[in-house]
Order: sequence, then structure tokens, then C-alpha cells
Amino acid sequence: MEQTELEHLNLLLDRDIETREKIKDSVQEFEKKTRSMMGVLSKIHGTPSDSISPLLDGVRPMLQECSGCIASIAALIPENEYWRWSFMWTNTLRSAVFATLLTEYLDSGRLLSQVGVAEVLCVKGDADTRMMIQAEDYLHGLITLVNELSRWAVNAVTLGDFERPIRISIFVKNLFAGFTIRRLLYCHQLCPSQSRWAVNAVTLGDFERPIRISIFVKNLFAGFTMLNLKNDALRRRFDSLKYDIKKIEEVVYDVSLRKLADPKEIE
Amino acid sequence: MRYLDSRDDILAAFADMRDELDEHNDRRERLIKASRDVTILAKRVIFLLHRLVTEASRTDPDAFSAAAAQGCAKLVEAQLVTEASRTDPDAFSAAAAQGRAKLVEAQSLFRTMREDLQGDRFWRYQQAVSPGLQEYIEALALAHYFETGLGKLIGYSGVQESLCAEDGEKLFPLPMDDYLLGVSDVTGELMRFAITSIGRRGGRGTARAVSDFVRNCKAAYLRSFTLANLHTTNKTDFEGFTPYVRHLGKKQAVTTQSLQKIEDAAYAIVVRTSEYDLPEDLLDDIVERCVSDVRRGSRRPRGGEYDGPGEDMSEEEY
Repeated sequence: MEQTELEHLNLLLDRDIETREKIKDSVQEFEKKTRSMMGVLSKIHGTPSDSISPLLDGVRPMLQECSGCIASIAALIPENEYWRWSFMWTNTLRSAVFATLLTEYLDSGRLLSQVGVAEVLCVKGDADTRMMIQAEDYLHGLITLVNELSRWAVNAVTLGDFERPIRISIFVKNLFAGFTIRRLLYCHQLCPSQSRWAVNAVTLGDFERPIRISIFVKNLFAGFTMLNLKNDALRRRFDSLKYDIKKIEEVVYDVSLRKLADPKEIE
Repeated sequence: MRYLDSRDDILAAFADMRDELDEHNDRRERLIKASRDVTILAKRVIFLLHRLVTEASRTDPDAFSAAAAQGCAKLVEAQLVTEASRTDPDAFSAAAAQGRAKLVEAQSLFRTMREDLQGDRFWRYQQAVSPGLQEYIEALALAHYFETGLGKLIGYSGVQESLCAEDGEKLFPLPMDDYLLGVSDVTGELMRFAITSIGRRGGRGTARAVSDFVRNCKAAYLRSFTLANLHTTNKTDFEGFTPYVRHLGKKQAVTTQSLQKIEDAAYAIVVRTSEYDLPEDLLDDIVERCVSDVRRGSRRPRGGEYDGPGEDMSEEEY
């Protein structure tokens, strides 16, 4: 190999290594911020409904810091090389997408679109910022959201007065692998009027919460079934959705059976 | 739209995402297929090159054995024949030219991929393209080596230049990793070339040239690794670089192995040669006759690629 050729190679190698090191530092920062944000958000499972709002006030500045981190990573990506380096932050970005979705859901009960998430995280997706939120990132974030909500449905009930019996009931229901719930699900499919439980303005933490979540999640599930999924990570995670739905249905079944909340009334 | 409030909103958004994902998957599949085609083509080129250079360095065995049978008086003549048929650089470059012509097909395959690899797409699908690209680089490097008369390793810019559209624009940026991994593979092919030619006319010189070249390749890598890793100094070998270029460590180990095979073979030849006080050319004749005897007889040497030294060294028969 010629000497100049060798020098050229070394130059390229050096530049790559430098880019990698710089991005690594920024990604580490991003990871740290996201992790602590996730830590705060995981407190929702033990927070009574009236304290959710102050909790969210604590999360919002953290989201802002995350979007700052994303911007600093974006500034480091060489032109057209988003995909070359994206593996370094994909997981963290998906967590941030999830956090954004959850925060908005807790706040307003609404689902942010892909564009909405990008706005919150200040990712414009144009060539200038060199950063984007892909459909896949958004979908992964959604699935994590559903995973979390199914837990929350359970915990919301737990935070009410009927803690122990319901916990036991859920435990037993889990053991019996949702035969009843399956039937309930089919029931809903057969009787759309029954399954279309409308959303009401409900305070957090009471027995109506699971019903709202149930509607929300089922709409999402309907969306996911529209995708042509490959046998990849997204597909496997999508498969986990049905268990979440089952679990939520269980809770709904439990609270409605005991007249702790009435789906029809909420409607 | 910032929020997805109704079921219809959600379904519409998912329909969009479905289209996006489908497009991505289709493109990926297309590129994987094209990359596989390139791999097949490049493999064929490599075999073609092996075939051609081996033929180029072979004399007609019948003519030779007839000449040898006539004894010492004809030896001088036989040597003249040998001289004329000695592997000449022209034969190599003719072989390389044929290989090159075939590689143009691979290049046009890359051109058809251009659209799918535009802009930031290249890095998104780099892993889909990479196997074909590396095989292509290997074939190109082998052709280049023969073209330059067993002399040169094709440079990074040389490979990049071959991957340009008609208008001279780069089809895509050549990744350093693929370049390094592709040219690493050449050393394995060269080992095959050296071992198969060792029993042929002028083959011992070829083997020596190849082993020098492979050794230099290795040294060049080592140099580039140390230069690129100034902050991880004290690493004189490529280990320090391995985390930066995936699989390179493994390839380097293979290169070392190939080099050792050639060196061992060259050593065996030198040791055996010392037992006969014969001029090089005469030795060539003896080896060749023996090889052709073995080929005609029942004891055929193992066919295909040689993976060890000594397979083709038929001096033992004497």
C-alpha cells in the first residue's frame, strides 16, 4: 500500500474514532438524564391521583434537558450519517419517547402523535438537525407505554380502599390465564356498543381509571394490527401487548363485577 | 397533527406508519438480494482469476514429458521451453483483464442500487449491502494484484473510484470497515494461489513473492492500527483496533494463518531443494513431470483448494 494511501486511511480512521468518542459522551449524558426521568415516572404506581400533577411538574424540566441532549447529539452527527451512529442512542431515544408519551397521557389523557413527540423532544426530523424519530422508535415507545399502563391499571386500584382483595383477585386471575377475559374480549368485539366505553373526565387513581385505560389501549391495539410486522424486536414486543390488554381487562372485570366502578355509568 | 384523539386518528396514523415500515422493509430486501448477487458474481470472478493464472503458469505436460524423456541432450532445449513458458506478467494481466471485465457487471449492479442508497439511506442499509461489497472488494483487490504483476494492494481510493456512477459521482461512501475487511480476505485467496502454484513452473518464486506481499499487508495494517490508536499506545498489534472495526481481529488471525502456511511451504521447498544440487529450472521439470504422473495415475492429489503446505510438493516421490 502506498504511503499516502495509508495516511489517508489513518485520517479517516482517526476522524471516525473522534466522532464516535464525542457521540458516546453525549449519549451517556442523555442516558443519565433519561434514566433519572424514568425513575421519577415509575413513582406513578405509588402516587395517589391528586399528587400526579406535581410529579409531572418535576418531569417536565427533565424532558427539556433530554431534548437538549438530543440536540447536542444531533450536532455531532456528520451529514447523512444518522444511521451509522443511531444504534448508540436508539434505546435511550425510545425510552425518551415513552416518557414523553406517558407524561402527556398522565397530564391530559391524550395520545401524542409521532409528530407531537418529535415536537416535545425538539426533533424536527429535517436535514438540518440530522436527528429523527422513526416510526419504529415511536411504536416501541407506545408498547412500553402500554406495558406501563397495564401495571398502572392494577396499581390504581390498589391505591383505593380495596387493596388486598383486589390484589389477591388479580393474582388468582393471572394464574387462571384469563379464560374469562378472553371471553370478555370477544364479547366486546361482538358488541361494539358495549366495548365502546366512552371517556369521561375522571380523576386519577380511582376505579374508573382502568376503564379509560382499557379503551385507550384497545384503540392502540387496533392500530398495531394494521402493521405488517417482520419477525423482529418490534414484533415480539407487539406480541406482549395482548397480555397487557388481558391484564387490564381483568382489572376492569374485577372492578365492574364488584360495582366499584360502572363502565356504563362512565359512558 | 399533534394528538391522536379518536380511534380514527390512531388508525390513520398507523396506516401511515405501516406504509413507512413497508417501504423500509421492501428496500432492505431489495438491497439484500442485490448484495447477494454481487457476492455470487465476485466469487465467480475470484474462481475465474484462480483458473486463469493457474493455466497461465502451466506448460503442456505432454510436450514436457516428451522432452524430458529424450534425456540430457535435450535438456537445454527443455530449459528453453521452460524459459518461454515461465509465468509472465502478461499472462497475469490478461487474466486480470478478464476478471475486470466481469467485475464491471458487479459495478453495474451497484449502480442499480444507487437510488436505494442515496443520502442518509446508505448508512441505514449498510449492513444489508456490506457482505456483497466486501466480496466485491476482495475480487477487485485480487484482480488488481495480478494486474500490477503481483505487486500492489488496491488502495481505499482505488476501490472508491471503482464505485462511481457514469457521471463520476460516488455511488455511496465506501465504509472503512468494509474496505479493511474486504482486503483482509484477499490474503486467504493469495495463500491458495501460492500453494497451488508452488508445484508449478516458477511457482516457488511466486510463493515467495506472495508471502512477501502478505507480510507487507499485515505490516501495513499494524502500522495503521498503531497510528490510529495513538491514545491507546503500547499496542503494537491490531488488537487495540479490534473494538473499532468489527470482525477485523478474526480476519487478521486468518491472515496470520495464511501467511504461516505459505511460509511453511516455502521452507519445505528450500529444505528439499537443498537435497538436490540442481538448477531451478531442472527442478521445475522434475516436479512437473511427477505432478502429471500422479494426475494420470490412480493416486491423484486431493482436488480443489489446498489448505495446507506440501500437498503439491511431489519431490518426495524421488
